Amino acid sequence: MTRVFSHYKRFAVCALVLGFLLGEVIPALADGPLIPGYTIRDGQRVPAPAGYILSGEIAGEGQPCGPFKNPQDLFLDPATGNLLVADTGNNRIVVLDSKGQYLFEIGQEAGLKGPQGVYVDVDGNIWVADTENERVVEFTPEGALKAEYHKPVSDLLDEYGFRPTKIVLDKRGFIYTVVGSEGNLGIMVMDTNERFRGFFGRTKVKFNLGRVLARFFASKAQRRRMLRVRPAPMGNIHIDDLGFIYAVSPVLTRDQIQRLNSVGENVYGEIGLRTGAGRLWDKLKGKEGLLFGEEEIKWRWDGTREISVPYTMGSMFVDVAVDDLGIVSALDQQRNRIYQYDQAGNLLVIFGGEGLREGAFSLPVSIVAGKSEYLYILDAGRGNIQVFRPTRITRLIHEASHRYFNGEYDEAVKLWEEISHHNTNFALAHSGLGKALMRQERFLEAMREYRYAEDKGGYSAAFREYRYVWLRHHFNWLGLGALTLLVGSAAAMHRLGDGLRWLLRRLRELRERSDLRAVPVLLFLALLVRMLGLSLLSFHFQTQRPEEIKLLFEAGKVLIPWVTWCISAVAVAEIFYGEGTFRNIVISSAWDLWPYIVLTLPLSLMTNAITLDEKVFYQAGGYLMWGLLIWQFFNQVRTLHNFSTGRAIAVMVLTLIGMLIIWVLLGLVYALTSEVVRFIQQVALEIYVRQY
Amino acid sequence: MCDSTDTAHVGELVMKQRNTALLLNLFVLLVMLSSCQKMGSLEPPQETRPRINPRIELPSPLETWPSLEGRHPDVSKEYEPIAESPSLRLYLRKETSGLIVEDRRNGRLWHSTPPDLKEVKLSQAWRRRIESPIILNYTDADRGRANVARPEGMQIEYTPVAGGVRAHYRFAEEGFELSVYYVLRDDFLELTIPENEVVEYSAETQNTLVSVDVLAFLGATHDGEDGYIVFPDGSGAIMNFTSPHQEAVQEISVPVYGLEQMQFQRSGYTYQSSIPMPLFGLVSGNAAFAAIITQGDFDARIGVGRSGKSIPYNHIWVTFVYRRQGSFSLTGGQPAWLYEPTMVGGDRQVRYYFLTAEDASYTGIAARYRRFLLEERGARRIAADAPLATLSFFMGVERRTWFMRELIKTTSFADVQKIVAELESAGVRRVDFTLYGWNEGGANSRYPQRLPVEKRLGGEDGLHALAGYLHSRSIRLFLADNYILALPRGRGIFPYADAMRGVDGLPVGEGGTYFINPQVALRRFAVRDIPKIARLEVDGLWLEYFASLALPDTNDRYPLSRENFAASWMQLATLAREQLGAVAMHGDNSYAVPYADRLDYVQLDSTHYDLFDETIPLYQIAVHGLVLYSGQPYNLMNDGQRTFLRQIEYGAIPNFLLTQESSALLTRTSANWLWSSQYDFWRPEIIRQYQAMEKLSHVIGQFIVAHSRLAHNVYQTTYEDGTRVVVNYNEQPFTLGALTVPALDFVVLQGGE
Repeated sequence: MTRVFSHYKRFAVCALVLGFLLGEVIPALADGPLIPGYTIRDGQRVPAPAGYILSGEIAGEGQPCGPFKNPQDLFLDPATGNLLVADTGNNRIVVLDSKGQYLFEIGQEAGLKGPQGVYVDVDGNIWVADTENERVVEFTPEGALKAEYHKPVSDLLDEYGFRPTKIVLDKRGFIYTVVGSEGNLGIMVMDTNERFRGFFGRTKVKFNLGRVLARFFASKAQRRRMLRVRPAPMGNIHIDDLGFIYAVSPVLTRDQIQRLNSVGENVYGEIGLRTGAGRLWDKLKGKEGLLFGEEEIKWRWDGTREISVPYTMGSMFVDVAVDDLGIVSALDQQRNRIYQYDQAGNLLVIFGGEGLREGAFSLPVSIVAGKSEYLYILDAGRGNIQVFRPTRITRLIHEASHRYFNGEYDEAVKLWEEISHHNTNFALAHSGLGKALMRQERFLEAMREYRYAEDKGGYSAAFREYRYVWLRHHFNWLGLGALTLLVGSAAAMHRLGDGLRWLLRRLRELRERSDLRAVPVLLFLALLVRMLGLSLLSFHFQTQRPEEIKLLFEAGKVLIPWVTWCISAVAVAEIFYGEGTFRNIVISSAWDLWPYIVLTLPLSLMTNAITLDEKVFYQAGGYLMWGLLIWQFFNQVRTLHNFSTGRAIAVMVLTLIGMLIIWVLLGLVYALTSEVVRFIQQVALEIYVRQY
Repeated sequence: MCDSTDTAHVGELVMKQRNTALLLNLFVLLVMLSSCQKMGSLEPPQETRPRINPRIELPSPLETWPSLEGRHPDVSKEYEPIAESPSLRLYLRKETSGLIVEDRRNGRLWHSTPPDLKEVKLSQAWRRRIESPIILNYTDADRGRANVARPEGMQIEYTPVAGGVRAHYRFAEEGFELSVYYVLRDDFLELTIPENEVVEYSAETQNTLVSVDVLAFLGATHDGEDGYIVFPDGSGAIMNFTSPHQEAVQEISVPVYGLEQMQFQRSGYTYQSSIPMPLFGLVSGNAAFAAIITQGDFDARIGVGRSGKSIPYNHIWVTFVYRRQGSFSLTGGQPAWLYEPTMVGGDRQVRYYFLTAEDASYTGIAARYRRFLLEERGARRIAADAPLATLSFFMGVERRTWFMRELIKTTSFADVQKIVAELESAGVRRVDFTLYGWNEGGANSRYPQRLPVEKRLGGEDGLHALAGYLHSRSIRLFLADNYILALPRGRGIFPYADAMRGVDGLPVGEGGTYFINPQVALRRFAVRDIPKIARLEVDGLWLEYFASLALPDTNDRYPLSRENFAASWMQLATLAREQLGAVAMHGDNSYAVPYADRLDYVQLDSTHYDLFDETIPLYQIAVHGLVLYSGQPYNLMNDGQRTFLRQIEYGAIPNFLLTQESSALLTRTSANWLWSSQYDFWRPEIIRQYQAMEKLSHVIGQFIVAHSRLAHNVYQTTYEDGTRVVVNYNEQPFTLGALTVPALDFVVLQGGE
């Protein structure tokens, strides 16, 4: 069902937290609308309460400076609260006070040309990246020209231009500029003596298997034509009190937001959160690293099935703002939204949108964080700065995050608890609560919270503790039970053994009878065991949610390899003059599934008793099962066709290759026929509509 | 002698007789059964293309022009007086069919063409367009773009009629003819375009009519003058003529009553309010007009233009739509937007009511619409003891795994009963209750099958017990119902025959879910199911989307225009109301006001377009007292006290959507939009809001007679008996004389204080 969300605009700040009142520059703008919010969960958009609400607007119109023209950068001076706008199209820097009232401007006398960056250092001096003039200019706090700096002289820089677009200074007084030029470099560092100090935080070129293969197979002429892969250019940069430089890259698809330490290494995000850390497949595809923002959206999950949506592009970050609590807010120009992350890179809030209405953006270019968690966003398309105030739940989230990272776990618990009541979809609240409950040794409750957060690692850790407690608690009964079992089985060993032997004999007889009717029964058993096995997996071992398991799909996973094996086996065996018939192969293949049928369920049940640390047992079981399966099929090949061992191995390998070939052919046929079907469908539709 | 063959024959004969008897019995039984079913179901109304608006009456033609003596001194000589009423006088300029309306009560003149047009710098084409009261848009053979018919090529024939003139326009070059009646009635100007006088010569010219802009520049004003434009965006919005704005011309045009077509490919999470009523207006100094679209409001758009570089006028007008664009997405790529081949029929009529003195404000404009609803659309006043809050319960939703359909149960009938008892002991008594997801399968069940009642929640017995309990306390119980969706597992529906069809002729729906044609919903499902629901002894139905959607349907068997669509649903609502007693709806379209006992999810805000300066409760002033209404569920808003204050200021009752269990259970279901709903967590807030409403219980059925801004973020709403509610959204207390309103709070002042 499409639900049309229309929301309110008024919002109450929690009485304890003082709001930062914005004076009226543009007449009587009441608070802006509360645009419906969402968060990301498993790569899917999930409804959530809105994060920020428009609190006011600041524009050049109606003020002595006149309207802004294509402004490119915004800076908030923490000492005075002043806002500085790099009014690029008008070749000047406009200085406004904290309420947005015009103070003064810089530019005409100094002859600024297309300045795209502005910064104020600890002494109050105003630094301007005078882009078109290829220099950096320093002004006094009152706006008088103080010094200018050109491209550092260095052999290393001979091939590169110097068009500084963004600028920050560190505590040592070193100048960091983002240089845009043909040879895009990232961040260049120089000092006040125009000495070159090196490049900073260059983004690595990621390994991409596709590219490597393409290069490998390309001819020399083609290789010359291929695009040279360069390190991705940087967008805006921001320096915090501790000296970390936050940089965003509009081009990267992973690790778009980086926190660079003094030697230029990216230290943003816990290693555990990084998707693809260590996963070979992701490394090969070049998808290693933290994903910020959203990827291209092609479909969405509405809780019961996938629905296609119009294609939406991925995120493109152009600026980042960091507030006193360490909350990182990144501005996505493609999506016209702000994505907010905590100190560890967890997604907190998303807000914004495109449009010509309050609270939406046309071409956002810069973001800064002000006092009381306010955010200021400069929109070049609309020529104004919109000021946003966090909603109450967002303030709670910030505070909880801050306390947690400061180690105040008990206070964090209370906050996470309240937040989780306000938004049960917010995974972070649940896993935060889970962590805190763990520390309080309330393991069962922690498991439940981790379950809500779908945090498998956390769940496993909580389960481990809970298991220990449970075992200790029930040790008497368990011990008694185990003892009785031992004694009982020892006593009944004889009977058991007999029973087992009788069963095995019966089965062997059945198999000997070579009855074709056994095949569907065994296949059905295999399928049943697979589905049950998937359903009985414990939460922390699941790879899909129970509602995502599709019967047809899983059946295919069992039946398709089996069927293609049979076909391939008989074909290859024929070539090698095997003695077995198709009938025999089919029957034998069905019976050879017994390791799968017998071992799957116990393995699944086992996952309910072990933790992720003990995954190795589960994996060992899996290997055992596969080993037995391979051994069974190998035996089948050898005995059915009466091959020697060596031959049998060769035939088996060739059968597997044959299976692959069949799959490729099937895939091809499917693709082609589905294209034909689609074509016919569309022609029919065109005819139907045309005659309408 | 009987031998074996004879016995066999006899045997056969006996068999045959037995068979026939059996067949006869079966036949009788079938007849009885089918008549039984007929006895149980209701008679649907005869009309398959019902309408909301009554038929128009055109004035009769006169022999000669009336001779009128009176004339306002400021009316230029090109204009002749042609009609008169006690309050107004109408002047016509025969050359261009331009009009002037003189308000005799205060001597104000309203020009259809701004009087200073000659002094303004404009291109000739624009000048000519502004001089003409109608602007015709058409499209040619490729049906892709709309062009404007040149007013220069217009030929006009006038016929005097009672109260005004009939102007017959002929566009020879483009091939169109239409008649417009400009008629004065007591205090309004009525403009009518009858359907049967619109002619398009598309066979010869290949041109087809797209839309007609009417009186686009009536009352057009320059920047800097005193006054504002009133636009019904969401709850309402105002554009002041004095506020600074960018020079680039800004214009918007928004359809009335929400979506004109179903769009499934919404990227979601964008914010846009809809226009809930066919009312707009302009206030200029101490005079104003309120325009009400009385016919063809379902096929109209309201446009606003801001003064800018090319045209220095602020103006607001209605566009009557005769053809819509349909998206024909065939090749899987970009859809082609083409105008539909068939014209949207129907008469078109808009009335301009002229207001003076205290009525010349947005409150007066809204009050005029309220009077219109009462006098001409069958609205009635609500009882003074109406409920003070509405609480809904989300009962459950199904989640399928490969082997079972698990019901995620969040509230059972017994739970509801416990909650009601608990709230009552806390003093919360005058409340409406609604159950959502009560049917088998929960919220995403098997529509259009809506029965039986879900056993896992308590079954029919549980529902009976709950209904009985609520009746003993005089509390109304509504069941949420959905007559628009046919879900993949629904039975009794054939998509290609019964589903709604869009402008492109394809069934509207996605992934096995379809929208049902309203007549099919009425004749096949409502008449069958409403009697069964009546046996459950509930007090009413809560009908999803009924007041928020009106879509055109090109279904073969029951083709419907937007008005037919809405009226069909109102037929269904009337049926439910007769059988059960009450009906509540989701949405706020004003045509539903006479048919509903309560409207939920009413918009309490506007879109906040850049164009406008303030949001006002235009809609709420118009309907308060005619219907009970609430906004969105408070627990899904999360902006705290300000939402509550907005509810108070706008006269909406609190609305909560609750569950017994935590909504964390719903995260992995299709109901994950419910992100906070647990009753235990929200109980203190419910009680607090109810107690606040008790202070206002005496005004629940009254009209709002005044609304104004006392200071920045401080607003006052005045009711009929003089009660004033002052709301302060600031973080500091507000003081005015003896009145003090604490920060983020409100006060209620009795009349005379």
